[in-house]
Amino acid sequence: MKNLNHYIAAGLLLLVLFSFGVSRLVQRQMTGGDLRLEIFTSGRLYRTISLAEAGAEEIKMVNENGNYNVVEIERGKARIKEADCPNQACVKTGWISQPGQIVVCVPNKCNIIIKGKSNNVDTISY
Amino acid sequence: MKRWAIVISLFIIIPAFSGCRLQNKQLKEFADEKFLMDTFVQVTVYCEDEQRGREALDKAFAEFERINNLTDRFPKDGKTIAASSDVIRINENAGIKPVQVSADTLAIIQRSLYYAQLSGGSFDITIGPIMDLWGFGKNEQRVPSDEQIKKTLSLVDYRKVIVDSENGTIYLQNPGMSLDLGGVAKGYATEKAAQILRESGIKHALINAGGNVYALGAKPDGTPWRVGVRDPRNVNGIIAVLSVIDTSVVTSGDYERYFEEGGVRYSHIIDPSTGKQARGLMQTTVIAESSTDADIINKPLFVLGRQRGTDFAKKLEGVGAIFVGEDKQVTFTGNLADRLEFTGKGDYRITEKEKK
Repeated sequence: MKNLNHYIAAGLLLLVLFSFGVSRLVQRQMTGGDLRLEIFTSGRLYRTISLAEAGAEEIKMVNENGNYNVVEIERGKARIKEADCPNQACVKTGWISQPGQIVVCVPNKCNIIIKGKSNNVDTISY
Repeated sequence: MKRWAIVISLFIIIPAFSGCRLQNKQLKEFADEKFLMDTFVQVTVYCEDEQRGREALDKAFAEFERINNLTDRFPKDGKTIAASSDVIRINENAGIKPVQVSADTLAIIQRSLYYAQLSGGSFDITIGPIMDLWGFGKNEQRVPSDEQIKKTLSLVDYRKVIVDSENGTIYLQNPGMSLDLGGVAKGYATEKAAQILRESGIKHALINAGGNVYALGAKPDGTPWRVGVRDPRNVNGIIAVLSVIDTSVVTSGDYERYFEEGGVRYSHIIDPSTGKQARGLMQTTVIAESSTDADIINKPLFVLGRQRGTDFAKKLEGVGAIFVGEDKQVTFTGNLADRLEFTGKGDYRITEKEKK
């Protein structure tokens, strides 16, 4: 009887460790795997790209006035590489890779944003 | 008997670790974002019912649009002055006549003037002519001459904004004066949107309007929302995390709208007393219950600098602040100690400035 209790206790302990491990694994997959980049032009969503699966790619966005921004995408990150806007603020922002991060080009109305879940924070104040 | 106690307690521990939280199972997440007020506005709500959740989202965005339409400084294509925003009409009638405005515009201006007075003019919504001189808002930035600045500064004085709350009118006393509500409108819109969500029965939500954050309630699991504070010199970095419930977190930085000339950074945060960039700080973050207040308070803190800004923040009930200097020194008000953690990233030196 004494031994049986020990087995039950040990079995339950293993179950605890196992379920803890699984839930951590699921959490990690949710955070790492589903990051995606959304490209907006003049406030409208133009394209969504999964950052985990993305290969190297360049997308030239031309707005209704003929002004352009070049969006460069690599695995897990993105940036505005080139633009013909006067202040170049979008190009200077550089690479983004975390959920909630945004590159905005106000003059050309081109914006890119990373969506998805992060373990660390729910949102970023900037 | 003892062993059974262990076994029973394990049965309680297992579900706790495996992430099953039955009471939240019916809460679903609904999120959307729109490009409004020159920035991204993101709203996330948690609600049991899809239709109610979606409706609440739509109402929140409609509120942002409404406030934006009241406070826009530049006319929209095809709109006459008479049909334009309150701010455009006020500015057009500077030195001419008082202008009838909405209750919201009146509330924004009154709150702004309150903080203008309290901060000795370190925050001033009549900064419009100076912003135009520097070319902010129109994206034709340039460094004006000292003479131009001096001349234009004579048009900046919040004491010449005449508020008639009984009749609901605003009057700028001198011709050429103009209001710029860029330092408060986003905060006010965030606050109003949060109010709409609450009225729609939403208990958990997160609003982020271009970095103006409002955390409504707690997270669905009952823990506080975790709001990261951006590294002012690295768009991918977070220097600190704030744990908040029913609280607004707003950050201002010299990296938001700026240009460089001759190797010098010229940001859009201008000291109303000099008409030039406030120097010394890279970033301020304000934590307050009201998003309007948090948005406004950042500006006098940035302009006053670390020492005087800290003194100013300490005088305000329920307000916390974080200061990041150009020297990479970080200080914060003592009342944040229990909800603020630093990530240690980005080579910043952290010292607690004042206990409250």
